[in-house]
Amino acid sequence: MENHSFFEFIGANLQQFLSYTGFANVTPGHLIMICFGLAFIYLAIAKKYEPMLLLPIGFGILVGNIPFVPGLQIGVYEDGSVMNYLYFGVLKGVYPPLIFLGIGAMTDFSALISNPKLMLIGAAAQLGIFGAYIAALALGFTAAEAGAIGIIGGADGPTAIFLSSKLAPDLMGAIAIAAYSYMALVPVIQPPIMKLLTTKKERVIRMKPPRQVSQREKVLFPIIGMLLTCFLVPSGLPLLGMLFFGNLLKESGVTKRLANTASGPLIDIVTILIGLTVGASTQATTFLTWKSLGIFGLGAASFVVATFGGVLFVKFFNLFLKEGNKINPLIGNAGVSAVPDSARVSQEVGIKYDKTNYLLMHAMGPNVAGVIGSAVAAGILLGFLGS
Amino acid sequence: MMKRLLLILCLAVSAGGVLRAQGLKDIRINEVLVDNRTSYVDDHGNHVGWIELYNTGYSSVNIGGAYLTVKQGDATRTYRIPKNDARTLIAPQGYVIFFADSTSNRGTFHTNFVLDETGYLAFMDQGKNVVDSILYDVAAQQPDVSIGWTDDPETGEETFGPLAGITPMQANEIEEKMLASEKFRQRDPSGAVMAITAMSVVFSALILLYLSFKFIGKSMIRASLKKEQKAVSAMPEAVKTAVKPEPGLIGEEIAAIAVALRRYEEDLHDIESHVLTINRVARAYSPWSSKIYGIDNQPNRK
Repeated sequence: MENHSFFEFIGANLQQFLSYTGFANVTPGHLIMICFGLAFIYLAIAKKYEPMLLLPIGFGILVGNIPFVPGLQIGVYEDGSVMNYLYFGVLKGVYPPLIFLGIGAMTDFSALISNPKLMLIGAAAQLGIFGAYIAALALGFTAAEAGAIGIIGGADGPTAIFLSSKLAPDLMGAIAIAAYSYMALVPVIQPPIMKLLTTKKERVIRMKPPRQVSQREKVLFPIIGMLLTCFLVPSGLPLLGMLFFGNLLKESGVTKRLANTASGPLIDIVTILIGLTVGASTQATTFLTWKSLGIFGLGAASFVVATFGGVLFVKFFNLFLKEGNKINPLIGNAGVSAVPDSARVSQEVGIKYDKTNYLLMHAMGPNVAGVIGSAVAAGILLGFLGS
Repeated sequence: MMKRLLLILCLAVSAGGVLRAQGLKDIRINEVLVDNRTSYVDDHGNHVGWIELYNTGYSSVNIGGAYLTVKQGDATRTYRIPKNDARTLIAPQGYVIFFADSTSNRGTFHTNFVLDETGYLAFMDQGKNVVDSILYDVAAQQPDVSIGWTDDPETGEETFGPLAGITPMQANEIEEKMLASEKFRQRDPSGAVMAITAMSVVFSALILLYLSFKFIGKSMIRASLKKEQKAVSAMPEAVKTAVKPEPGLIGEEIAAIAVALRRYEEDLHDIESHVLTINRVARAYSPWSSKIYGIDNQPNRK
């Protein structure tokens, strides 16, 4: 009799244990998301598409989609869990400005300073953001959601996370994944549009080599840049302030250790945390919705519109420039930020038509201007649609 | 050194003063109940008139040392908020309530005046400068109906007047506020206004940067040319002719020459450094480093 109750006890315990395992709680949604995660990891390792981002995000998707019984303080959305504490930095928009600090400390704005008219291309390419905003409104998204979706067109992951955490936290996972995925797919999305919009003659335009920029100009750039842009759009301060601060650390020449930390260990740590937690936030229940599908569609459209905007603006701008000063429209695509992938695309497409025409340095101008432009655009959207 | 320290100290003190004043400017009289009959009770269980102050800012503000008054210049109707009470520190977007019962001996939050006499109430900083004030008609005050700031549902603008219900220590809006984004959407359903406005602002920001750096770039080039001319004019005539750059030499060619020279020098170095030195290293014996006494020795069976 005693033995019987003993085995009953073991059986009940085992049954209880099994009910807590992932096998007992798995749903088709979890499996689909795990496949997504594996695909991201494959793209990162085998294809080397943005591995620094896709690998942590991909693994984060796996972490976030392990099925479990709620209430054990495990999940990213459960108060008090470790993942929840780490996710706090995403939810409250702490990580993106820190990443911008690192980007600032890594970025050389010389190409932009030596040829400041390239900044305007960075502004024109923000058209994708507002094109997607209009389309999202038409599809029935709320204004705040539309703003958060539109920023995918800025092709800047931290900016997209920052804005969506403020405007539409529920959609942040989908928005971040869409933004990073399309950034990785820039070499696939942009070249056909660039070829479609340019003539053979335009593709071989040679631009003047950039002039040498003095250190004084490099030091002045972040100071003046921060003051001008943040006075105009104070809501962009968290991103722009940190971007320009990081750049000043680099260019001042007297804070080498701080610049090295910002552009090295700090940005690495934050990238790990942001990638893992954003990936983990894509739990099947919150991610596999029709809204996510809409976000992916709108994200792709915004990249296309942004590329159109950048390339067509250069063609328009060229109408007013003298022969010899003209800009190669193949660098127009680089205005969508996605540093440095889109600039690399300009180089690769350009070199197909003229093997000695190196566009990379010229394309870095609109590329970094795109970072500033998308942060300004995020500030405007936050100013109008926030709270 | 001392001068510099003094300067820094002065700047810090003045900045501190400015910050403190700035903090008090964030305080406003948010809600007032003049005739309290059955609602909110004070810490002694009495129904008395009360004043709610609200910190509109995003940093904590200490109101210790500031004043509340219903008649300026009248000390008997002016209450100095005690300084050494931690509760006078109002959190960002936080509230604090003062009971106007004319019994200031009951604690920090009890004033020496009542609210149904003058129809005037002001919050003043430590220098008795008015930070915020309100005027109200004492006779028109209804029992248990407070007055305060609230959003006009039609215009969305803030107005001061009777509230739909009393809300001590919380926001005055009882009904859910319409989100700013939805208000914006009502005015711009297609998103075209947003697109045009935002693109204009993005362009303005980058045009401003463009113009600034166009100007800075030009002045830098001018300055460097001047410097160069000055340096050249200071050179002897023979050197001047020697340093004249080759016509038609472009940046890439100069870079190629520089790289070639560098590689040539490196190669030279590699060939020249084929010197191998072998020196015998003599170490003095010490039992501490002797292998014989090492603990790794295996025991031998004899």
